[in-house]
Amino acid sequence: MNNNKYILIIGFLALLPLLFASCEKAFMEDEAGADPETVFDEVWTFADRHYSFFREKGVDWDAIYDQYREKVRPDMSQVDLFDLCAAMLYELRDGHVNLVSSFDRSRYWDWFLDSPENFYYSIVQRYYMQDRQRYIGPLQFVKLERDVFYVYYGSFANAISESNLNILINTLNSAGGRPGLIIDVRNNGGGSPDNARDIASRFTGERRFAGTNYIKNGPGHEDFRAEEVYIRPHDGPRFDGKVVVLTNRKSYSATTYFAQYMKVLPHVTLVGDATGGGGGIPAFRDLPNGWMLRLSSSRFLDPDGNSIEPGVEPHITLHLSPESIKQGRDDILEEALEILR
Amino acid sequence: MKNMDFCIFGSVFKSNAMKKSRHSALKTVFSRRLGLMAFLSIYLSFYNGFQASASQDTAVNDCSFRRDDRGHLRATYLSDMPDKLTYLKIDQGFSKGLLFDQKMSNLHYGGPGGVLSFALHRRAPSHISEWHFARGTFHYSRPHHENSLVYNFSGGTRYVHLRRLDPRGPFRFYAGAQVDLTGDFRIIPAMGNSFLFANAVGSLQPRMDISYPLLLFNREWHFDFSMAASLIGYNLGFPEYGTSYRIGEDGGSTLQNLESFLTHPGNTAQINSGIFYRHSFGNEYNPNWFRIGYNWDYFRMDSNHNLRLYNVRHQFVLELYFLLN
Repeated sequence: MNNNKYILIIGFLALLPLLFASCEKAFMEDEAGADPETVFDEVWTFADRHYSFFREKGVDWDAIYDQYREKVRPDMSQVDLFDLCAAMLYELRDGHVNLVSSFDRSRYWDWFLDSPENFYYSIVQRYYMQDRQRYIGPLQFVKLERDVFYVYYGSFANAISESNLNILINTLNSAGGRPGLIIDVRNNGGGSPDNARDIASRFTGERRFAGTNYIKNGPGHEDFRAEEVYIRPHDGPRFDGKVVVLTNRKSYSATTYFAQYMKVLPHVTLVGDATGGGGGIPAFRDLPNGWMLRLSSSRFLDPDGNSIEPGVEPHITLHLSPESIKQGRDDILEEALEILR
Repeated sequence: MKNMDFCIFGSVFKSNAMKKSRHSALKTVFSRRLGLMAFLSIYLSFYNGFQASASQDTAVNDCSFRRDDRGHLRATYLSDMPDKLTYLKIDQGFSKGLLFDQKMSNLHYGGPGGVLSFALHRRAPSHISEWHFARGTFHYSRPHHENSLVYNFSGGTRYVHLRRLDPRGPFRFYAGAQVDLTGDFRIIPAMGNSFLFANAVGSLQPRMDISYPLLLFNREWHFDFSMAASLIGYNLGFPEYGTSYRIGEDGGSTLQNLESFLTHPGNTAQINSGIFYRHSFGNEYNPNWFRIGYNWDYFRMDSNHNLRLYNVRHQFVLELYFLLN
């Protein structure tokens, strides 16, 4: 083989990667355009196919399309387009629906803005925990009175381990007497419902039906697959004493699931305000112009067939009075103490 | 190892016997290497504790000179190797990925990544087989607007078996098939959640390899080309709706029934191709060798509701082959 052939072969081989690299997009579909009409249509279509509460909330999504689509102009600015899409999504009245751009985040916060706060961490910290708490993973744990223990869990996004729960339950079980536990999930904005289920499994000795999860499985507004959810007793340490769960309207998303999981257990009492809801687990879409869209794509019904999207009602509804707040007194926590004494 | 050192003895004996050979080049090689080989053989014999056995005579008698790819006799260390050689193969490299998953968005995601694979490579004059028992890639990909990112992991296993079609010419043609099982995971952390899109495909892929010797930089290299394409397979993946396993601040996890279907050329195109140069480490006496090369992997699959997944990877790899036995 002479040198020219070597050069030809080597040259061909060297060009081969470039050839592949340059033509690969020929084997791939084009990206969607980023013009206002395309972006608007993608927002509407993704919601149309994935959103889970159209019927429950009585939303006529086709009518909303007609109402907003005519306002889309090819030359409208990104800010105007964002505001238009945000207004359309606001019609869904859902805290899990967000449109995110580099300059704003659309939101629906009415689920807690019209409700009393019902929780002041500083009051709990100064007048109840008094810096005596232990940090067991994401949990703040303290003994408030004889036989009464208190746990504050601020976010279900902070994963709780088996070890954390073992320590907590073993401490309760070895306390002697008839210990009771207060689990405070007020202002807990959510996280993973798996954490919620893991915790609930420590407070039941038998399998309990908690509700039915309906997960979207098709483009139709009522295309769902039903999945029954049970709280199963954990194999490890469990606590069978009295438990009081404190909630407020800012107990959202996974915390609403947690409230529902605990509500079906016989020795558990929910005290405070209804949770904020957020009963739909979100789906996600990256939009062609760089925005991101998130919306609910499932729904959860309790054993009586009621949706938890508006929130889980407590057994005892209670609000903090302005006088109590001034005095550094947490009425909801005091009610829990009274139940457990 | 026992066979190796006795084969070297055998080569020495044969080099003396070959003085009348018409292959002058061969004699030159032996005269230069004789001292080294004698030293090596003595050393290796010490290393093995002179554990001579009845196999010694056999090994000596079985040693023969290899006719190389150009038809020349070569007294190389490799020529004394047994017919079937097993190597530990370690692939590593960097890559560039291009991803388009319509369940996720209508955007192309591109970015750098890496590849790492461990395999057992077995070769004989008549066939090659290879088992990638652990194979993984990672890509860190972004769309053009760069507001989001995708962590794209894939991992799996692959078994390759190739038969040599033309055992005599300088070109070596191999044909066979590979069975590939690959799981691909695409995670987008966004808005306090992590959204997971995933699928796993097991497929049977006819494969063809070509090998050709080449002189480059005054050294003998081998150019290898391989191509495989999926014929039939089975996909198991998250469907479009209610699918994502979500971990994060406001989300949770839910898992819809997995979607599954047979893959075939009508709904799936999966092509693995590569070009490589291989050479032994150091000189031809070294039984270990390496390949440097380029892989182009193309994957396209249609799933339900006409949503498509494309995953294209350019991989620049260094493959190391270490002789096991």
